[in-house]
Amino acid sequence: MIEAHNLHKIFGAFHAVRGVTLNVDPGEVVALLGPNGAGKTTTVRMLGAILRPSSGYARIAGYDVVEQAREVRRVVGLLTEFPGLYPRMRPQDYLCFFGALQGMSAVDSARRAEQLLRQFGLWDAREKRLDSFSKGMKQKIALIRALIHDPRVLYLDEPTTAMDPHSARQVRDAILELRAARRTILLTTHNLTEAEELADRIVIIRNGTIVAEGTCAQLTRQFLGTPRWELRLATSAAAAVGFLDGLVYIDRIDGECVYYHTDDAHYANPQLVARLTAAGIPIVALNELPRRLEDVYLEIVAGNDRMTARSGMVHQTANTLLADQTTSEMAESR
Amino acid sequence: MSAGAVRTIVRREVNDTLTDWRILVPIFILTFVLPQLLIAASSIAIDFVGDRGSVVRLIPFAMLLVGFIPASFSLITALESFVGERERNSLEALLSMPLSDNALYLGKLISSLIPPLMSSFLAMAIFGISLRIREPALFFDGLNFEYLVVVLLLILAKSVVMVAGAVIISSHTTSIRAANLLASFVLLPTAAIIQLEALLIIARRWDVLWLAVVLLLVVAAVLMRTGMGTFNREEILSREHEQLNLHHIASTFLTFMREYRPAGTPPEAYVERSFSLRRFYMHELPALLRDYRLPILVALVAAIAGALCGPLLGGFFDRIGQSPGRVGVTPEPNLALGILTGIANSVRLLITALLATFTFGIFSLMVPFFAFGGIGYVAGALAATGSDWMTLGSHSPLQFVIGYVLPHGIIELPAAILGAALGIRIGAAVMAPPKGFTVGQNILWSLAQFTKVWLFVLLPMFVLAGIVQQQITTRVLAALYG
Repeated sequence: MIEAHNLHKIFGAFHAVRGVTLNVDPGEVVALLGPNGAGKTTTVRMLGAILRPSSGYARIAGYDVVEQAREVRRVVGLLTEFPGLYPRMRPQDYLCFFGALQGMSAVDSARRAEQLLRQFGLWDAREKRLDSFSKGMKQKIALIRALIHDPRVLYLDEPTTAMDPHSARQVRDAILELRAARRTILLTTHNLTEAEELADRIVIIRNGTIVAEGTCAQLTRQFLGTPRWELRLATSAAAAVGFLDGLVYIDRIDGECVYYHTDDAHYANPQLVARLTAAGIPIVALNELPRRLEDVYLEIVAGNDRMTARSGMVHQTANTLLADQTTSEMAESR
Repeated sequence: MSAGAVRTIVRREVNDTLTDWRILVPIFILTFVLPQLLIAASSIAIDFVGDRGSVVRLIPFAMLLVGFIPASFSLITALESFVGERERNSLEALLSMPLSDNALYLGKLISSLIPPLMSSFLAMAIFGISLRIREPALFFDGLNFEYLVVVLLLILAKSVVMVAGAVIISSHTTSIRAANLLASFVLLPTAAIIQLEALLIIARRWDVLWLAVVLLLVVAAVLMRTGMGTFNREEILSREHEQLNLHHIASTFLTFMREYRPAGTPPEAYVERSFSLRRFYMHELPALLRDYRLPILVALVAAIAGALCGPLLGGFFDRIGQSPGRVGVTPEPNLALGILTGIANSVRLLITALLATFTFGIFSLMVPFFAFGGIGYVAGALAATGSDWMTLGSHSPLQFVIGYVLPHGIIELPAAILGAALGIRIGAAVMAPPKGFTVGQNILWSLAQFTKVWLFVLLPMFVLAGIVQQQITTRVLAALYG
């Protein structure tokens, strides 16, 4: 549904996007993550046919973003970084205005606006002017604006920013419903928990280049290595150390807890339990330590860890080479 | 372009304006209160001045004022049209809609015009009706049908000029503050036009006012064309990345100087490493002249128009010493004066070309217009004395042309036309950049072509013409006139 190949965007002397290649299938939710200024918004604007790529190409639902820009804008719903509403308008009028610009009839856009206002709990506020809305309500209106023409592709930039937990839940549920309805969603967010919950795939972008891509599990394994385990005993952990030798790699011991990792948890963990039980050492709990997307993100983006130097650099080097190659190709073609 | 989309934008924008009390209150006062105040002031003025005739002459101007002040509010809404939306972060949502650039631009332009114009026409109607009721004598003596039509058209044309100019500013600036600062480019000429109109109204020169209407409508059309030609949704959004990079500007200019490529060829596509005078004369100048056919044609038309209109501008040419009374005077040859004249003419051309950048090329059009205008005036004046065009004699137009124009004019006049064409191209650069160029690149490209041709063609031609004027023309004149 979204097919981008080697997209570059250059503003004067500033190379904002360098060789982004991205494919998103129908019904897939992809989270585009990255620090401020990484090139996320520029990428989304190119995919929304608002900015023309300097080189490379992109097709959205089969339409070329340069040659068929208006068709692309018709199939895309864009939630911008800032709601940017017209403050003196009322919600229904505002939504019908954008419905009309999308080519909807007045009746259809009014009906659709009512349905969405009800779904997002704003129907009771329909007579109020938008300047009296809270930040969260404005964000919801902006989201409804993106949904008004029932687009096949959605670009959502920080969809739950400034929302209270209940509203954020509503929006996340709506995104899940859209995914179930086979809508393709590109989600840009700094809320990594949200990305983890909603996205089928994560794409991390830095300095205009994609530096990592995959499911949460793939990225975690790739950038944080094998899972870490916590073994909690009823007695001092020092007594158990001898039974673990040659079975797992002990990271540290802390009171009654042993922290370790292993290359093959399916083999090592049952063996470990069996050995300790046989030795009469009571086990209170054995848990895999949770590893969040945030840790992966920080590993990649902040680049402050040994793992980044190992795994991340390999990925980055590959991408840098790709970008350099593309730049030379561009120069040659000119 | 979809008319429906334009209508949708216009409806929303007009509704938005009509619900903003910050605009409504002053417009209401100007529409309903100002006409009454002016009528009251007229009555007081008659008593105070004691000369009813003078006040009667001011009535048409009062009506112009009543119409213009509410119309000037169009500047405020137009200046905000794009940059205001950009600052309020609502522009991106609009740009993501499936609208053409032209539809969006026209929607903004029309919506900026409608409320102030409605207010303006309403204010004029209120003024007319109130004057008819309260001061019927002033109404009948001060106003007539032709005047009403002219004023309505003047207000309309001026509003379109202001709005079109303001929308261009709005779509090319990064903040409302910057747009307001640049608004002086619209305000100052408008203020000058109003003063001129006031003088013409008091002098009752309706014929010239009609001409002003036509000129304003032409300027409005040019500005609208410029606005639509240079409007680019991408540039509006990406302007946050732009900064005034003098090094980049200089480097682009030097690239365009280095070799000649047709307009629209991006700087990256230039291959020559250095400028070559031989290449310039042998290949690039002929190519440039081919590509400049249209501006050269425009300059030629201006020259012909100048020659035809010259007799109408006699007073002007008399004042600058180009009068028929001087025909027969044969100056002494002076080589240094010839060189200086050549340099002075080239510098004059340079200045008009630079001014052309800000005036859509109008200053450059004046070069051939006045150069040929002077010839037309003197030749016309000689012909008016009864001399035959085709016979020689001290009062013969033909002898005047052979003696005073041809010897050096054969070099100087083509140089003036070529220089004007280059200037016209500079002025047109902002209106419609060719595909592949931004407005900035287009201006730099045309400035670079002007610089090269001025330096290596026009300056030598003008100096040579100056020398010929002193060394040959003077001798021809001595032979012809004694």
